[in-house]
Amino acid sequence: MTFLLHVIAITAMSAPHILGYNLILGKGKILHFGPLGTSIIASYVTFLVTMTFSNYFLGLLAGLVAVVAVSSLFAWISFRMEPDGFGVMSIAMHLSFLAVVLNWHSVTRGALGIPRVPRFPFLETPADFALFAVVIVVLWIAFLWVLDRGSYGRKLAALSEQEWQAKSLGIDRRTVHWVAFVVVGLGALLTNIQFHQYIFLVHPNDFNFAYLIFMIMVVVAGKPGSIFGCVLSLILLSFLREGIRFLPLDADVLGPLRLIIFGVILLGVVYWRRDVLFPKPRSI
Amino acid sequence: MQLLVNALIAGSLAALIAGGLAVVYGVLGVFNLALGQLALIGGYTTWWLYQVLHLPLGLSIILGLACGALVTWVTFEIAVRPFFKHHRFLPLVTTIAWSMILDGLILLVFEERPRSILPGLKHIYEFSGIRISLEQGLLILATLVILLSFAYVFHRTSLGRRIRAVVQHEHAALSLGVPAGLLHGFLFVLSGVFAAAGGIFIGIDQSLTPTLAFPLTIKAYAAIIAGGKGNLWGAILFAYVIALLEQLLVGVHWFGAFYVPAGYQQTVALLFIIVILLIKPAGFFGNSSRTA
Amino acid sequence: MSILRISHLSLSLGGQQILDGINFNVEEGEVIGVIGPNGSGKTTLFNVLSGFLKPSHGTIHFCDKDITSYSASERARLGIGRVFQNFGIFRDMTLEENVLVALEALPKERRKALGNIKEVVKGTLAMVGLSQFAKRKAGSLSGGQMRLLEIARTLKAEKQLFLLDEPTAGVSPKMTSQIADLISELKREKKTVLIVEHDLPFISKICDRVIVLDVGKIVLTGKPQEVKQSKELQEIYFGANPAD
Repeated sequence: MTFLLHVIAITAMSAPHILGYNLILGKGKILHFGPLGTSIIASYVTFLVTMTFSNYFLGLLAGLVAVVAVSSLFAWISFRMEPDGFGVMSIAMHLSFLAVVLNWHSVTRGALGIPRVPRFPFLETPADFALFAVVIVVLWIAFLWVLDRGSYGRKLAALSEQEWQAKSLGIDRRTVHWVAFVVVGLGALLTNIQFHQYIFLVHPNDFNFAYLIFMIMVVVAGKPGSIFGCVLSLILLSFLREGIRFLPLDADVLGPLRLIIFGVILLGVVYWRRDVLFPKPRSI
Repeated sequence: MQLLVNALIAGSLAALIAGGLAVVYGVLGVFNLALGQLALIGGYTTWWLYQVLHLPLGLSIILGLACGALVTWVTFEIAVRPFFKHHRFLPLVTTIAWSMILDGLILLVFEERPRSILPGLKHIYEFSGIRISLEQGLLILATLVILLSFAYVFHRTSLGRRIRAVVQHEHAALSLGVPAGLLHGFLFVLSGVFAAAGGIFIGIDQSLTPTLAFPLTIKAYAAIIAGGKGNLWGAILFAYVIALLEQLLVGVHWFGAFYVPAGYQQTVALLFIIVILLIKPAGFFGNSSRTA
Repeated sequence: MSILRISHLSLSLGGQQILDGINFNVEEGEVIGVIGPNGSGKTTLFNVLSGFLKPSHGTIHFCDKDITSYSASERARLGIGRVFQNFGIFRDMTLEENVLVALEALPKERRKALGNIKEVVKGTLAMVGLSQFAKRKAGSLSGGQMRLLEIARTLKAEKQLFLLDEPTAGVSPKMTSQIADLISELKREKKTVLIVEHDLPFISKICDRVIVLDVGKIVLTGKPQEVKQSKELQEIYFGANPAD
């Protein structure tokens, strides 16, 4: 039962970030492969400020400011580059933020991470976390639904399909895309606030590349752009991910095996969904 | 001065990888994010053949390159060919997936321990305050030979003309009978061989660890973006420039006060690109637009 | 002899019928104009004949061979040449190199039969008066010069069937008559030519026969003068009640 609650908690906690990512990659077709870069900044800033000043409100505020700043940086770079070039550069940025965290020992404690993260007073048991996470994610889904179905969603979709036509109708690409980057960042913040409290720790390993693969997999498998598709694929793939831990294999083998399994799934899923992920441009 | 030599060594390695990649991007319009892993596979195979099976070094290198070519061909058939005609961006995602699979395989087979093809003391030469080993000198020379040969083929032979024709107007080339499809595969495998050569280079000069893969890939792309996409010689030039900047960043006693920790070397590539973008969004030698 | 036989050729893309049951034969040595309003499927027809698009139905026979499943480069090696609307020139290569690529792509025996390749390159450029630009990058040529180079190069690469897609588009009137002369030269060498064009007087001057496409179908064929005066043509181009 505890394990089930644990999986529910983990799944619901990771949802806000991934659902935000679904908006930018799945609907907006923006090749942003650096969401974990925003995520790592969000986590470290929030918790470092919180623990330095023993004040959660201040920490959250700092985290919010940091998220908007980093998201804006990503957005700015995306405006200056071709889409596939930006895809590669966003990975570079993620890895660079990771490098900063790992090397700036005096502030971040490097590879040791930040332990003993304080919890909100009402969050004690896995059941508390599970309930809280579910409430947050339902509210977040409602927010994204309104965004998606309203004029913003239409603008984002129009830009992803026919950028020049959309612009010539007066749709401002910079504003629309900037909002998308900020939404992913906010999703990251929501996810990380809960997750690090849950495991009592902020650690660089939680922002490694393998998790990006998981995020892309969830978005692509669940039909890119579809909120409920994404939720469904997140649930299924989270169970798979947690379930793999129970395989009777050495840790040395389990890690690489997980990489291979996820890589294979992602390849398969991209093949299956290639028409939806990036529709073939009509040339005639 | 030593910095310059170090930069030359690191730059030659990056130039090999970036060069192969630039041609692939110019022809296929596709980014191959599994490139770093392909480089490592070349290096690890050579290590295994030489250090474990005790084959002669020359043979190990040749077989390492062949293995790199084979795995690159598999990469093309699985992660690129089924996708890139459909949409140019799909291979970006599929090669990320493929890179994870290769990472997992490398970890399973070779583990995380550093592996060196030529461990132990190298033949060091010192002159004018510069230290360089025989192996490093040979590697720089080999890179120059490879790049010059490629330049010759590219600009002076009928094969090179066909490659350039396919880059500049694929349909016209096809309608003249140039087998563009075959060339795609050939060039992709060639870029993998160049990458494998880079991996072998690392294995000889330093040592191989699985974590090297992505930084290699990122650096190669930084060079291509800075050089202007599709511009082969721009990419090679900037590979050397980035290597020089990396050496400067961590090698210089800044303001007489501090050294930048080596862990930040990767960040150089990133910062460099951002600065280039501020000045020239299309890259230094960028063409205004590709035809399709 | 029918060098080209097209039977029931159809193509639909994204739910739209772009070509609909095209049937026609082309005799060796004929020069045929393909005309029709925008969106009628002319360039698509050429793309299917060149091998860049696969038809949904129908067959294409070239010199009695069924080439429907052949790739573009295979068709090129069989002898089908294409001149593109958007100038199929390799702009960063010199004029010499542009011709060399065409000759080097020929099958081995035919390349050998050409003799001294360098002389053939010289002769090609001389034929269209571009010898003095031999070492210049092709991108520096004017539109008309590029077009001449493209046709000359295709001719020297020993193609039998020429698909010319709007050869006078983007070209000055002086160059247009040079292109017309070059096409007459093709005719004298018994080459078969299909031309997509909007320039009706140009078509009237050089074509033996005209095919009119509308909405993916052949609606009219005949000699240029007959087609020019037909009521159907007026309706297709100008609507049911053309101005006087």
